[in-house]
Amino acid sequence: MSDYPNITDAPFWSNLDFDSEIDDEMLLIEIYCSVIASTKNRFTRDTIVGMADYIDDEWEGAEDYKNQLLEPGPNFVHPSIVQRNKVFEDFDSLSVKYGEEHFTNFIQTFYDTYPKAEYSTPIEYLDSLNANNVFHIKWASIYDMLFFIQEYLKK
Amino acid sequence: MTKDECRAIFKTAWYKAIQKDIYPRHIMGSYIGRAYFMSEICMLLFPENNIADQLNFDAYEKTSGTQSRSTQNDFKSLGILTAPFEEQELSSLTKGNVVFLIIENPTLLKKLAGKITSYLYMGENCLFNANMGCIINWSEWKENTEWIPRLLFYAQISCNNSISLDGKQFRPNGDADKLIWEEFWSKV
Repeated sequence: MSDYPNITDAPFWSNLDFDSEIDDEMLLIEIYCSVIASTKNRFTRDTIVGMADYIDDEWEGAEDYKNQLLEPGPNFVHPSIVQRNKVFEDFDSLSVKYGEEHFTNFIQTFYDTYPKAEYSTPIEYLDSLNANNVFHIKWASIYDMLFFIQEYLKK
Repeated sequence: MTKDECRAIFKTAWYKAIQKDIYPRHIMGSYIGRAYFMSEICMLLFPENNIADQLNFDAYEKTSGTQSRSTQNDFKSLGILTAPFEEQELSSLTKGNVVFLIIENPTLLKKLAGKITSYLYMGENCLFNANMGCIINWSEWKENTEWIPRLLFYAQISCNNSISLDGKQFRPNGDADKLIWEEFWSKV
């Protein structure tokens, strides 16, 4: 295994018996780890660079690679869909582990109380901080976390 | 130190470290989770006479901790030893060492800003990402042909320094601290 999709599978988790800890601090940790491990920070040998912005202009294969991204074929599933499905699957498991009502209330409160300045939602606020849509890894992680919570709450 | 005590310390430091990155002062900055986690571990194990509570994470977050030269200088100032990797293996490390690696794809990813990433060694070839949110297993991940990762250098606390600031000491320092430090990491 080149990486651990679930933090609970990492050796230190069982070494320290983290299964015996179930409280709101652990819930935040597990939500964060789910989002981080499922999104942009998790790279495997099968990872596809899904954004043309990161392709070197001088590379002679750049155009073909970009076309491949634009027209990936009928069986292609965009990485963001795969990531979302994995996070939602994790959230379902956490909902069972921590109790459905508690889990829902926790993520709703997290979302509602996250800083948003004068904007209606934290997502709008985060968008405003990155108007040119430049990739910043920490901004992206926080955005992913709040976006997935927002979408999960809509389910 | 019991396993329960060790877990409680780890959990407290982990939770605070994650919060530092979820509620950042510089959202376009670099992850500081791993660095904050280590400072918290130091403070929780050695709460008295410890300069770890005076570290400036604001600057670290803003200027990126992955600038290897400045990071190595910072480590030197703190009495933390660094050593380059002779082989692409983690066999010489102990848990709690900090590992720096670079990804070097020759054709893709040239526009990515952060190519050097720091990890916390957790034993059994496991590396905890600087964001404290995911773990890779180096023995397999090093074969990644798309990202071509390469180990650069690692850092470990010496437990033998005379660094102090405003009358406070860098800890762990000395044999007694070393025992506590090693006992903690042996249980992780």
